[in-house]
This record gives sequence, C-alpha cells and structure tokens, in this order.
Amino acid sequence: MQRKFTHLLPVIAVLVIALAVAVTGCKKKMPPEAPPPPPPKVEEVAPPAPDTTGQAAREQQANMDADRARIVTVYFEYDKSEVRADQRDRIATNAEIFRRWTDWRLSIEGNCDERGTVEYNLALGERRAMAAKQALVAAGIEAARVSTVSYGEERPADPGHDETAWAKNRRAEFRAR
Amino acid sequence: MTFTSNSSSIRPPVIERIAFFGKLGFIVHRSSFIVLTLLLVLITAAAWAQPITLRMETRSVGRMEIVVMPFRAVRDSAFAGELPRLLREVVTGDLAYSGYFNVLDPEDLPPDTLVQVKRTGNKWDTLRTFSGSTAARVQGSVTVAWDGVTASIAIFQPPIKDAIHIKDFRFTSDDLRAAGHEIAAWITKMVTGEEGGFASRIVFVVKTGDSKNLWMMDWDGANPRSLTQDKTLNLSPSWSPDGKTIYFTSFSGGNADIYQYNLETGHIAPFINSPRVDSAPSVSPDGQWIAYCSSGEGNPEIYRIRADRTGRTQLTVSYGVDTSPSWSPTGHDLVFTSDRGGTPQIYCMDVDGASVVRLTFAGNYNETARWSPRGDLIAFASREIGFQIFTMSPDGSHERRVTGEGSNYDPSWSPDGMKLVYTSQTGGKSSIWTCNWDGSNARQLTFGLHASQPQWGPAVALTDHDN
Repeated sequence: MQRKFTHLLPVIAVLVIALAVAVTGCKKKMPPEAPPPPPPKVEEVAPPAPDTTGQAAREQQANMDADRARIVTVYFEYDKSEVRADQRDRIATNAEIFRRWTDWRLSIEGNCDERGTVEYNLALGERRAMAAKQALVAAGIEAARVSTVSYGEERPADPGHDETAWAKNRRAEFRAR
Repeated sequence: MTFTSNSSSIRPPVIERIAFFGKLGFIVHRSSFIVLTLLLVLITAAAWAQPITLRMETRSVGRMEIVVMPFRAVRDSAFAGELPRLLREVVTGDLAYSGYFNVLDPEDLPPDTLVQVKRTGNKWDTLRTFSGSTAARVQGSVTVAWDGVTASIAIFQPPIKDAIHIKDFRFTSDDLRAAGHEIAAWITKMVTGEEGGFASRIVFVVKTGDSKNLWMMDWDGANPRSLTQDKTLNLSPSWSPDGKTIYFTSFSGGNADIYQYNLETGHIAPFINSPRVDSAPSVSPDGQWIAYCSSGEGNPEIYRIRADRTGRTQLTVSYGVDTSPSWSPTGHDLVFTSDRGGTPQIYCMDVDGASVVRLTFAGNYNETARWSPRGDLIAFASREIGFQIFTMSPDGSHERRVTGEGSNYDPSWSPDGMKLVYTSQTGGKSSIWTCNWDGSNARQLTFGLHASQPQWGPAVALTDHDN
C-alpha cells in the first residue's frame, strides 16, 4: 500500500503543478500546495442573498418547506428488506428533492411491524434503511450525506394490530436537516 | 432417600410438539389434582400479597414431596407476632416456585404425622412417629429477641426419626424476605443437592409512552424498581456472570448502541458506540466476551468483542439478518437467529463462526434462542398465531412446546436451568411470567407494567451450607 502510494507521488505532483499553472496562468514560482478546489455549485439553489429585501430568502424558505413536505415514505413487504418495484417511484421522488437541496443532511429510519421480536426487528429495520439508502445513492445522492437508523418495531406509524396497520409500519422514513 | 442432582432423574421424557394436546387431556383427567394445585397457589399468593394467576397445571412427575410445618415462636410468642408465619410463607412460596418440589399442605397430611419436636441443645427429639406420607418435613422455631431473630430450621426425612439437617439462621426482622430465601435455598441444597435460583434477580424492560427503560426485580417478582430513567429506548439486557454488570442496547446516543450498567455504582457507560446499529449483546459464560449484532457494511452480522473492547471478530457472513446470539454454557458455541434460508430460524456455530448448523425447521419464524445453563436444552420463541416458547435439544431434536395461551416470547433460563422467565402478552399489555422448564407452575411476576425482555441473572453464591 505504502509502496504503491510513493510510486504515484511524482505523478500526483505533476498533476497538481499543471492544475495550478492552468488556474492561475502565472509564471511565478509555484506555491508548495494546490489551491483549494472550487466550491461546489450550491449557489443556484441556496444563494446567500443576505443584503436583498429578504424576499428571495423568504421564497427560498417557502420552496424548501414545500419540497420537505413532498418527501415520501417507502414501504416494504413482510419480513423483507428489498425496495419493492412499486416503491421505486418514491425513491426517485425523494432523490429528485435531495439533489436540489445539496446542503441537506439525510437520515433514513428503518421500521418494522410489531410481529417478530425486538432484536430481530432492530436488525431488519436496519436492513430496510440500508436498502433505501442504496437505492437513493443509485439515484445520484452522495452516500456521505445519508445516515441510517433503525427503530425496529418501537415507532409504529399506525398503532393498530392488523395488516392495514402493519403495512403502514413496514417502512423507511426520510428525514432532512 | 437422598435426591441426586442428576437432571435426568428430575426431567420426564421429552414430549414431542404434537403431544401437547394429549397433555391437556391428562390435565382434565386429574381434576382433583387441579384443586390441590390451586390450594398451593393460594398459599403462595399470600407470600406476595399480590394475585398470582394459574396458567398451566403442575405435572408432579419426578418432584419431591415436602411439607413445611407451621413455624413456632419460642419463648414470648406475643413478641414474635406474625414473624414466624410470614417467614414460613416466604420459605413455602420459594420451595413451591423452585421447580424441585411438590409442596404439600400440613393440613392435607394424616394428623399423626404432625410431629411434635423440642430442641435440647443441638439435638431435636421426635415425640411421635411418622405415618402415611414419606414427604420430607421442615420444622422451624423462631426466637425473636431485642438484637434480632433466630430461626432454627430442621429437615426430617421419614422414616428417619432424627433431623437429618439442622441449621440456625440469624437475621433482623427487616431482612425477613431475604432470610426466607436463604432458608429455602438451604433446604433445597440439602434435600436435592441443587443450588436453585433463590438469591437471583431478573432484569427486564418496561415501556412507558414512547420510551423503554430497564427494571429489576427479585427472582419471585418482589421489589420491582427501575434502573434507567430516560426518554429513549433501552432494550435487550444481558448479565455478566458475576452479576455486577448489565449490557444492554440503548438509543440514548440517537441510534442503537451497546451500553454497560454497573449495578454496584449505578453508573451507565457506552460500550460499543458507532454510527451502525449495535444491538442484542450476550455475555459469554466466563464474562470475557460479548457477542452482539452490528450492521458493519450494511448487513446485520454477529460479532464478538472482549469485555475490554479488544479483539473484535466478525462471526457470521451472510446476506440476511443475523442476530440474537446466545452462548452455550461451555462457551464453545453460540446459537443465533438468521434469515439466510428465507425465514428467521435458529442456527448454531462455534465461537469462530465455523461449523454452522441449522437447528429449527418446523414453522417459518423461530427466534431468540437461549441456551440452558445445564447445556441440555435450548429455549426459543416460535411464531404461530402469536409466539409460543419451545425447547429443543442442542442438536435441534426433541422440539417441545412449553407455553400454551396468549403470545409468549423472550425466553430466559434461571441460573439452575430449571425455570424459564418470559414475556406473555394477552390483549394489549405484556407482562413477565415464569414457569418450570416443562411449562408447569406458570406464574405472573409483574403487574400493571408494560414489561418485556426479561433476563434472569446469576445466582448469588450462598456460603456456609453446613449442617
């Protein structure tokens, strides 16, 4: 590993220097390290706009709230953690929202119905959250933005004890901060 | 007639799963026996001063008959007050509950077996002979003095006329229950050779609103009190074998992590704290290792780690869920739940994760296996309509149903492997119950609490078992 890295060092150095020359267009002596990479293109969706009338900021907040309200929950089959075919649109909806608000940190909460034991359901809920995360990442969301948590059977959306309630409780909820 | 500690002499032949319904017929046949059992339950109910519900009938196969005569007050009986009666109730309740005895009421014996004895120095004189029942007799005389109480307990085994064991127990009236447990443990040890679980405690989980916290109670359900008090979820407790630490799953850090509760100091500290789901801790019999479930790279697998948090080793590698590890008493093997075959089933592996064997095949939902401290049985929960608790041999054979009504799950063994504690749900609320290993002598231990996930702690060693 270490040997491989040292072997690549000259190549990296050349690349860094070439990049620095290209950016600055300067013939002066090169700075010892590369300049920081350009900031990501967040401006178009999250402009700072502190000195305007506040109108833009209010619109921005309204858009954000509207998008937050559009986030949907993904549901699962009994004792399964694969994202169902009929739930892929829901993943796509969420991915589209999350691509727009790149500064949101995302948390996916896996849940189970009350059947099964506490320990098994904690693990199953984790697998559901992980499956939802994978689907989200496949739809273009950086994995580093997404954390997962499992509540097992402890946080039912519907307190009922029948299939209608259980179907609502086998779910992954998406939270944005 | 000394009772050996060989478990096979206590346990009747195993009954297969389908034989359960045959057993019901047996019970209906013995209606007179039901009356006797109800009587015993009424006696013991007084000891708790709380209602105890009878769930299943006692099968007296292989249990020793014993009778505890009324304890007498020595010298000033007015000064002793209710103390001899209360002490006897604790002792009788423990013996009936222990799973080793068929406790008879003195009233049910022929009157001439009510032995009158007096103590002269260290010798007990029998003034009458036994007749009829060969049940072991326990006699007690209680001396209450200004500086404490002395209970002189004698065990008689007809037809031997002299007491075969005598011991004095000294305590204060405030420690009456503890003294009663100690006396019952001594009687059990002397008569059966077994330690019993008398000085043990049970940790469990109580749900209040959206939060769950750890609670503790004595082995007989007395003294329930909370250990943790927060607004998050505290789940899946597991005892260290020295009884000093409880490992458990807690959400107090936002997601599931494993924490330690120090029972001596009340201090709570994180043990495994990661962004992953860390859950279902199980401490090895030597206390050196903790097996647990962690999601690692996106898939819940079983790991083990030393109590000093070194030597983390992944034991399972499968696409499915692997969780709920439980150690064999030798510490060489682990049973666990896995859905690698499509449905959750019980599997067994060695401590290095090798030699994986599937143990359960009946039913499509078998979970939370717990290995008996005797090593001979594995208890687990199997879902039909709701859960029922079953036992099986460690090779998966001889599956046997233990519970019958409602939904019963979360089995955990008493330290002597003779009893099970479990969660029982009927209607909306769940409570903690115990029964003997074969399902007999079922009793409710918690009342008015939404309780679950009981774990029976180790027996506190009783010293001085001399005669």
